[in-house]
Amino acid sequence: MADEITIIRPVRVGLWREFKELLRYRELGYFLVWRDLKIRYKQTVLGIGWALLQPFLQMVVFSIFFGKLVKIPSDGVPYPVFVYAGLLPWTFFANAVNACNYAVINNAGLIRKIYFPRLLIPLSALGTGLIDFLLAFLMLLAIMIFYQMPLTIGLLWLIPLTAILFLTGLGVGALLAAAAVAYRDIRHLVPFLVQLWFFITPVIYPATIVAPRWRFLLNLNPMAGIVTELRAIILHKPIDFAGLYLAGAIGLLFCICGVWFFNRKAREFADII
Amino acid sequence: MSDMNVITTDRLGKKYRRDKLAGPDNFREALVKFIKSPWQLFKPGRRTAGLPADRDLWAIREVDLQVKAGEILGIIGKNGAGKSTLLKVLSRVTPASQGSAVIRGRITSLLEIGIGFHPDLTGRENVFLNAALLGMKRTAVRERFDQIVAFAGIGDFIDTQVKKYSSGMFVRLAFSIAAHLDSEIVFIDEVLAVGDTDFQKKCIVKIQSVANGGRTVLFVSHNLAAIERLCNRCIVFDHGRIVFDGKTGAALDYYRSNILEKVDRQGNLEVERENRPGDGRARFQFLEIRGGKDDRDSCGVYSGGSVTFKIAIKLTAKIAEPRIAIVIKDQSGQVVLRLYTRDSRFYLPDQEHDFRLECRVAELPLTARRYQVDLWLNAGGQTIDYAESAAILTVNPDSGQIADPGYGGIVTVKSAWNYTN
Repeated sequence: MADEITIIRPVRVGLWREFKELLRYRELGYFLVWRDLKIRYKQTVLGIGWALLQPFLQMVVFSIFFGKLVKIPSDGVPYPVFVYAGLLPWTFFANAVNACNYAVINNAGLIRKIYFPRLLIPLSALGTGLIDFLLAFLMLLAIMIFYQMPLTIGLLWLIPLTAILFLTGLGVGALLAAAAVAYRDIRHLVPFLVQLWFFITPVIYPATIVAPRWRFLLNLNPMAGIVTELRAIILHKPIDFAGLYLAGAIGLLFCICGVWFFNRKAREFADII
Repeated sequence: MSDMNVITTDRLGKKYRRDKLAGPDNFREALVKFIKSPWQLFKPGRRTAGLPADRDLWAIREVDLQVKAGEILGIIGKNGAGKSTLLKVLSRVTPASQGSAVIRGRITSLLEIGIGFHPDLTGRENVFLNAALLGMKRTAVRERFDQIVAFAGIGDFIDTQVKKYSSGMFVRLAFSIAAHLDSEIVFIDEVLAVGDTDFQKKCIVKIQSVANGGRTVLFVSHNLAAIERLCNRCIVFDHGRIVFDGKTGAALDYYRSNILEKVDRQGNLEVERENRPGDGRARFQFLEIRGGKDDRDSCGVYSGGSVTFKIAIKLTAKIAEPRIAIVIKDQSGQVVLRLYTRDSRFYLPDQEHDFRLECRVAELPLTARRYQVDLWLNAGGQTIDYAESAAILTVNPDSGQIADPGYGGIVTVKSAWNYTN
């Protein structure tokens, strides 16, 4: 019967043990994602259809304002496809960060009363976003077919890129989630921060309009690399591997720092929330 | 196997920082600190260095505890004595500050029932979600699903959104999930305080059968009757430390005579107690209970006889039209009598200074046993002070009665009998 031993000490457990705990509690992670999706679309007529419709409507609005009226260049591809390919990773990132911002506080009732690896909270917030991302990706395929763009094996590059995107989102999300518990001011700062981040990321404009000598600065933002390369893959442009590796490295760094900070703070969530 | 310890704690302690209890850190302060010396952020222990020790509040301290497999351990103590904190530390909701604990086996911690219940989800969906939160595998839930629904007795409502449930149905479903968990160690914190009496009885029977199945149960409750019925061993907490550990009967005696009645003999209340609810504008300072002839005798209160409660209240700010209640509870925590100024049409004017009151009952309609007396002070619908178990009221049988072992009810009134044949 004593197959499971719990040891309680004042010291923090290592990251490796934390990771094993996460694996053990993965079923709860699925449940939290399932709960969030279920609640979100309960009592709506379109249900999960909203996950398809929202990015589509966003694309229409952006195409009209920035493509038709402002006439932002789009590297020679139809602006709707161009902007949608940018919005796809950006929306995932923005939603993840905004969701993490409130995730810990929204789950305060659970945190105060039961134990589970606290990292499941930002992880499940990202998991919910990943489902939306996949649905929005289906919409992208539909749009590509509409514009008669070829669907090739090269699209498989999207898988590692999505992993980088996920890690970056997790890092930033976890960092802000923990910070928002300790300092409530953060909560009001985050939406503004995300908006600012949107403009320094080449979502509605191509990275090529930034002068080459400033390009390096732009690439310090991992989202810039992710958005640019994701768009390159979709539009069959050559992939800039240097940019991809840089985005991967910065994303991983964000992830490690964010998770480290989160775990450091998470032990005391129940006391300070 | 059965004499193996499933829970062993070694000098386990948990402290809170007093200023932390007030709320989260001040962002501006932290920002200024960070700008002044940015590397401080990465130094461990920077928080505690150089701070006076009295900023710490030890919720539990130096707890040494061994629990064997299959034991049902009762945990009693006054509010804020550390009972719930112990369960929180053992279930890893909050980290320990000192010492260590080793627990063998899977733990389910029921600090509250119905955790994670979402009003928009159906009963069925909530069962799976709640069980997952309590650490039960989906396959195991599926196996026991019918049992859970049957025990809760909610039938077809299982596929209705929980927000449409009555509070009774909600509680029954929540408890039913908890009762069907499959872990070896169960922590229960006062969950029996909910639901109607019938369901509470059903719960106690269920817990008993759970425990008889060889599982280990740690049971925190204020309901001494339930503790007595369920537990074979009991620990008593006082100010964060275990002050008694032994057979339940002896523990209850110790608790009643050394902790509950400590305040009785002197008449003074523990005004310094940390977590008395209320806004602090005034505090009960003194409660004296007198009975017997001319109400002179401090321990001579008799069933059907007179009793006088003398109360002193200390003010730190003005209070408008205060109302005061003496709440008398039996040992299961059930309120049996409330003496309330408003009910007696006794309206106090605004108070600016400390004041004293007296409440006299000419014929106390309570049967002979011990009761707990709480004091409640409120003004304008707001609680100013609530002194839980301010005193123990021991009601003696009057000369004509025999000590009642509990079959005679709670209240007694004079009744006239005539032979009408």
